[in-house]
Amino acid sequence: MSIQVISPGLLSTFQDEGRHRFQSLGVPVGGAMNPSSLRLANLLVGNPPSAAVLEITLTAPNLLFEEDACIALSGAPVHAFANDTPIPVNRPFLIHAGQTLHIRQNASVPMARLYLATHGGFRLPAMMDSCSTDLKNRLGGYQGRALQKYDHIPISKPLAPRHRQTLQDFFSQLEIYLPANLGLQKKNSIRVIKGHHWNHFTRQTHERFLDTPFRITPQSERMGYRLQGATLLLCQPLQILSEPTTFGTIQVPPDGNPIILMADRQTTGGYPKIANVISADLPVLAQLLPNEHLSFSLVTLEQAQALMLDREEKFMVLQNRLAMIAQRLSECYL
Amino acid sequence: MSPTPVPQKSWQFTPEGDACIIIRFRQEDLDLQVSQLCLQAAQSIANANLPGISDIVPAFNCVGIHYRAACWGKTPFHNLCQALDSLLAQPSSPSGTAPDRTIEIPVCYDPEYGMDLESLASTLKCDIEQLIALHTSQTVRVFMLGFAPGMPYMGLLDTKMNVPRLTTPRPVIAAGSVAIANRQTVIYPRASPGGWHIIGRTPITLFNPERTPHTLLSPGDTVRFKAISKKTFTELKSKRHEHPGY
Repeated sequence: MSIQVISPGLLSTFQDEGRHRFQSLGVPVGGAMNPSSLRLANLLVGNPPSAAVLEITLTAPNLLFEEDACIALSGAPVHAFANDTPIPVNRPFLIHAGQTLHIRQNASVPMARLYLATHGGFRLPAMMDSCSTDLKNRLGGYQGRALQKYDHIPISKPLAPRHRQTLQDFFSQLEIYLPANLGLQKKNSIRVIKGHHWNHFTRQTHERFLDTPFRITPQSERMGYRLQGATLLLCQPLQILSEPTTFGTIQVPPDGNPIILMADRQTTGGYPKIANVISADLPVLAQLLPNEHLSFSLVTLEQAQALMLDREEKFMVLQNRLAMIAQRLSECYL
Repeated sequence: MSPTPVPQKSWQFTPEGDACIIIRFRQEDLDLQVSQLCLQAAQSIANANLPGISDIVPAFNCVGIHYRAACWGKTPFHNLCQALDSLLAQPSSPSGTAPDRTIEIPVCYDPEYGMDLESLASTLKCDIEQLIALHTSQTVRVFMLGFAPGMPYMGLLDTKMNVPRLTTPRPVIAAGSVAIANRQTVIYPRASPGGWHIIGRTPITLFNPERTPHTLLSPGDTVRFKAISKKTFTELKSKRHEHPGY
């Protein structure tokens, strides 16, 4: 019962909601760069929302399924196929034993990340309560690293072949309505709230930060997005002691080029913080590609949290509506 | 106006994005007492088991509280600040804090490992032996862990050991490297880039995800360094030395 890696793709790693509770030990949280797509992919295959999924970056792997499996793809709106059969994105799909999953980027809506979930999850050992791959510390996921050719990824639950037809019928009749504000659409405008050191930057820097676009440089990765655009200047040099950071903290090192801290960020940092990306826009940010541009707009903390709570509510409604998938699958799996 | 801090006694709350609060005790220099306040606050918040708190991260002069906004009503920041404020206003019970412990860490101060010993000695106008004596004769406290899993920031070192960081960080520093800067000392748990002055290397492991506790040191621990020979270093290293008690 496993998936064979025919080709690994550029960077394919297992990720869940991250390694929490250990930041006080200096252990990064990690987890899916796009938390919304992680959750959606899991709900579509009847998993708990936090189960580990495969995070696929830019170039997708080719994966040979040795058993029937119920899978879902969420995130980048790619062209995916099981051998020659098209696989719709954001829907559960039954892939047959012996079929290979092929994926092509959708050139008209390119996005950086795609998530593959399988019903019952991948069989991975949890390391410090999480299956997320920490590449830097070689921790968790599949042997603490990205997928390589010839890897065999075990999956947790076998599907009895006699259920193939019933499930296929069930999936084809399934109506799935996805609310608009789950953060799945492509967008280049990113909302932020003012950071702790906002007032230490010059007035002109404030204007430039909000009025001019920034390019995501190719040095951007899971730890942080390094941006290039207006040089951000402090009113005067600022010495600060290292302090906690979070997903979306925008730090400004002495060269004036901002860095947005992403999933694999360090737990603390000593650079001035000009702003924080709001949680509701992190999924959008995670989908932007190297060399694409983004621009920032300000909202208040209250607005950011209202957006976050609204997102949570939409997900709860969706989770209830998709509960029948879990129900139906539990009848078909051993 | 930048994010509105809630004005309070000796601490204030500032938002770090929409899912983290930083409790700030003072915005000045490194101070052992302020660090102690941070650790006490972190401990009493941990003991209170508030809902939706995923991480409590003590730092030099502040504590980060990472939270799930969905657990804190319609105005999560405000509500959590109120809960934290009343917690901090209570006197902390000594039973709730971790017992003091002193941990001895063997360090080989051979110039092969301590590649900056010579230049430091000349900068600080002393000889290498004096430098080693300064580093081993005092105890230091662990302020916080950060940068890498299990990496301790410790201090304060003698004022004679006050040097700024390197202007250009090194791209790779060996695991176990012991380094100093700004009256602090650190140990790099794994090979990583770094901008501190390297004075030696320890053979012991600081982080092991498969053991409990996962790290040798915890914030608040007292540390004393012990000079060891190159031979002892190699012996301890070949045994994949774990610290006794870890």
